Amino acid sequence: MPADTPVLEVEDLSVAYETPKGFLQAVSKVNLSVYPNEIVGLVGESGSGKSTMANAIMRLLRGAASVTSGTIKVLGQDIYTLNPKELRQFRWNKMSMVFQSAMSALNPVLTVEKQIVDTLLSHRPQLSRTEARERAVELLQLVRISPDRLRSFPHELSGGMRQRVVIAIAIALEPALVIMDEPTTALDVVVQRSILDEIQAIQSKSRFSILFISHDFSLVSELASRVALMYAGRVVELTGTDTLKSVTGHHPYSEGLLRAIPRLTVDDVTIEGIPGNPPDLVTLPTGCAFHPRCSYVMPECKTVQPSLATVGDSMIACHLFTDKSGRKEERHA
Amino acid sequence: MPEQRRLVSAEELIVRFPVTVNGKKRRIVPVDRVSFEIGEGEVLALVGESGSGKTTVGRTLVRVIEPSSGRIEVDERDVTHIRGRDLAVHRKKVQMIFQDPFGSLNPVRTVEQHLSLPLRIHDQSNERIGDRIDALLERVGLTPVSETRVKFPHELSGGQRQRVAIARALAVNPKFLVADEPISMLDVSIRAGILTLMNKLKSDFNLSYLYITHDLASARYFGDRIMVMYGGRVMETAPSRELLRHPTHPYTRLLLAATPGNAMRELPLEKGNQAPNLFEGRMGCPFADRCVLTTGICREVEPPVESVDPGHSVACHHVV
Repeated sequence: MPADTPVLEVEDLSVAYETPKGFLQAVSKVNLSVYPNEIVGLVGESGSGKSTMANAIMRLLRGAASVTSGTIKVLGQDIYTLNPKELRQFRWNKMSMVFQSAMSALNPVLTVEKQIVDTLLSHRPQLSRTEARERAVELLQLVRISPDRLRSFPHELSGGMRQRVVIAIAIALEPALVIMDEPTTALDVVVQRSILDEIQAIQSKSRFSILFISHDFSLVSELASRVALMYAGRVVELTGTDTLKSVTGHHPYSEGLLRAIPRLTVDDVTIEGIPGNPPDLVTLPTGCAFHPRCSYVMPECKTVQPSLATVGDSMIACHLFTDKSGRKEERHA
Repeated sequence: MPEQRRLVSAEELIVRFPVTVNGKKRRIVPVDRVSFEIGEGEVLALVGESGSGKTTVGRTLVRVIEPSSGRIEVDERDVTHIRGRDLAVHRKKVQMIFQDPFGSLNPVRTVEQHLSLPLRIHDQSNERIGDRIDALLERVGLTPVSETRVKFPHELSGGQRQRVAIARALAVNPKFLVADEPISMLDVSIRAGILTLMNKLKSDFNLSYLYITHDLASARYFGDRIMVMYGGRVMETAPSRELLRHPTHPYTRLLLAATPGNAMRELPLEKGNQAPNLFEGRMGCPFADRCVLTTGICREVEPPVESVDPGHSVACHHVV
């Protein structure tokens, strides 16, 4: 783990939604840091709280959602203490976000050029229009789109190109942190691959940090150096991506996910699903939220919420690894 | 080719759709001379990107779409242009599972109502429909049955909904299922359960499937053979293991290299990434614009489908 001060420091973060059925705890006491020049993956299924986390970090939570505890610091700055004007300057200058749906992230009635130039000029008023245009050309080249596309409207571009434009806008002001929320989920695999390769190339050249949110374990493990796995609003495992090659030595949920994915490279193609269904966040199971689906469940799992503890090089929130009965050695071996 | 009895065959299937481009009427060919066979109890995985024609092939087999030309045979009957009563008989043999279990179920009908409808239409005998529903729900793992029967789709999770859709398809005792991306909208932890269920149904009922997917990893898990389509044409067909071990067509190789979790990292294998030309009258190989091996002949002459190994065929001018 890098020793520098983190670019993103999430401490004890909880986010709740007010619903007619009661409070829904979408994110519970999450701690997560992203260091300079690092790509961290945030993996989870629908309803695990990963997108809520992203919105909380960008301070984009609206309506019924609110941060109920914890702090979020970006470059040491607590973003929830910024006033609206400061926040507007801080966002995109220091941190930006790439959304899943490129079509709805772009304005359909403005050209690509206008959208990039507007972004640049609203944050860097000292730039001249010509300079901003030159920068727009540079940015498009960076994401491998021909600059003659500047005059195009979003609907004239393919899905992959649109997402490239969104990425170009996200990195336009050279932020220290880019949050990418499922940026390639709606795209074909080949396009996905080339966009991921570009993200990696740009990242290693321009040196910024990425929090990469995805539901796809194998994709994240190719891109990120560390992965946080969320289940029912909590981080249940935080580990280096190299450990994901082995299905053992993980939280039972991670293990279940690893066993559930058919693999391309191994000869053994048996897969096993995780029994049961993702939990209802309003009526979360007591103790460890995963216990009704866990094949290693023990009595204390039903009552005591496990917290993240160091296991080898990982952090895992599971009683199996802190259990004194000796099963820990057996599982981690 | 499978040693089993042949259940489905498609010969030189062509589907054309009219489109309007800049006020002019033109035709696109999303499925262009596609031929394949599926044996009894066999799974053919059809892999391709969006716009490859894979969904259109599936819909044509169920005969939601009538092909413009070519021939479809299911269970030794020509079903290419059948209508009315014959079509109803055909649908009893061939059922479809859709991608979106939120869209394919009626939100105001209970699970029971979803399952009794096909039973009434295709079986007519009103007796014992209840027992049959119980058996179906048990079969797809939606227990306790008495609780599931009265539920509405919104009370079920995505995986459970897809199980209802599978039960509904099974209600008429089909021989052949077209499953169009049945797991791509589900959570990762749920996908494996649906795949293993479909696998079990295959062996229990000797069912055949056309498994349509964009994901080579699941195609390899579930498919006995894999057929790769691009721009309406079949690029390569081979037994699943063989296809992944010896991908021969440049497009298959590109697709495999792009799939997360693969061993080979040999990109870039393409130049440009424009969508294929689907207009009628196009020439040459549909992949020519993206292929690194393209030479003059690729843009002029459509490569024939040639066998490179028993059961392994490829359509490419540059395959040695």
